[in-house]
Amino acid sequence: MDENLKNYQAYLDGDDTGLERLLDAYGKRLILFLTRITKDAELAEELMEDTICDLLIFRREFRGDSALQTYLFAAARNKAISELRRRARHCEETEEHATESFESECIADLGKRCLYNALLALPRDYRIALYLVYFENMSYRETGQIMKCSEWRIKNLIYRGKAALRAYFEKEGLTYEELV
Amino acid sequence: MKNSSDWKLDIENKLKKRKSLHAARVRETKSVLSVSTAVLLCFGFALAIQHFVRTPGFPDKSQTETTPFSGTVPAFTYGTTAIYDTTIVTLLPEYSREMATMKDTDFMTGDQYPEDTTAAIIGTTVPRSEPVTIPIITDTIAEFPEKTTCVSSAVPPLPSTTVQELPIPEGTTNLPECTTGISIEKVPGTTVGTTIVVSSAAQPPSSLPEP
Repeated sequence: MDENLKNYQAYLDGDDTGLERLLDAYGKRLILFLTRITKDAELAEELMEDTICDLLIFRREFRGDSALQTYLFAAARNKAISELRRRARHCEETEEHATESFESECIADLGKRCLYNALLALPRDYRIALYLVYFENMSYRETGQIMKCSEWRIKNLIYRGKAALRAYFEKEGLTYEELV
Repeated sequence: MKNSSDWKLDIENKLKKRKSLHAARVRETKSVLSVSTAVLLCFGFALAIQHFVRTPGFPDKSQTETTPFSGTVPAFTYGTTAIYDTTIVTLLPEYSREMATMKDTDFMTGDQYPEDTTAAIIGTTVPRSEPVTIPIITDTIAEFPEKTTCVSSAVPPLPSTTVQELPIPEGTTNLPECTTGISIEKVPGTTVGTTIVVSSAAQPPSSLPEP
């Protein structure tokens, strides 16, 4: 059984440290992922907590058909999109909170960090697909499960995303090949 | 940026908050349900009382014809009776707390009836497609329009002799003084304002004048 799934089960069985271990494993990753969607680190942190909260409340929702990681990233993505829609409806603007220190703590490689920041310039679907594939090392299949689309579409998104990134770097005077 | 233990605390607080919110919602739903159940029960009881607890002597819902009333109709008797479909009103209620109203005056005709009286006389056929409550007033306020028509019957006639044809106005329950000893012989099927045959009741012939 997956180590994180064991932690989750342990928390459900009453072991309080299970949740902390689960947060150690997914907390930062989810925040980084959600920051790329919302462009707001504080909101991303809030949404990460809500995602974990939902996992603990709606236990039946997670049936174990997919990996816990896939389930969490899919739930986080849905939550972020709903929140952005809600804010758009209520004309609430998301503030771009700087997360330099957090990002540098999580992404040590300078080239990757530059790539991570460049993702913000891309459309949302490209951003999510590229992030999951290149930063979370997920397969196209897993990425497809999270984004609720086919592998073929993920391949397409990655291809177009890379092209958009290349154009962006060229505009900024950087070399794409050095970073990727 | 917080660390894992801070997030854990936040998540546990959120869980507590959501649980208390859920419990409050359940409580609220329960109270709403209990109030609506109580209201429904009250409504049900009211309907049951209206349906089953009826003033004695009133026509039953399933009855289309009631037992003919015989005897003196008491003066100042107010009441209502439920008329279903076509009912021949042959029974007047003894007493009801409900006062006669101006409802259902559409079946009344004739201007000889008192303005504030709605009535259905004994023997009135009232066609109705829906059950309605028809007020019956058995007061003495309705009298014969012309006293002069009673003059000839001031002296009680011979038994079984037709003495006069008198128009019986709707709402009339007590015959005027001049018809003392005269009773309505044939009533069923009589409609409002119809002239009916009044014949004498059994009276002592000794009171008759000499021919």
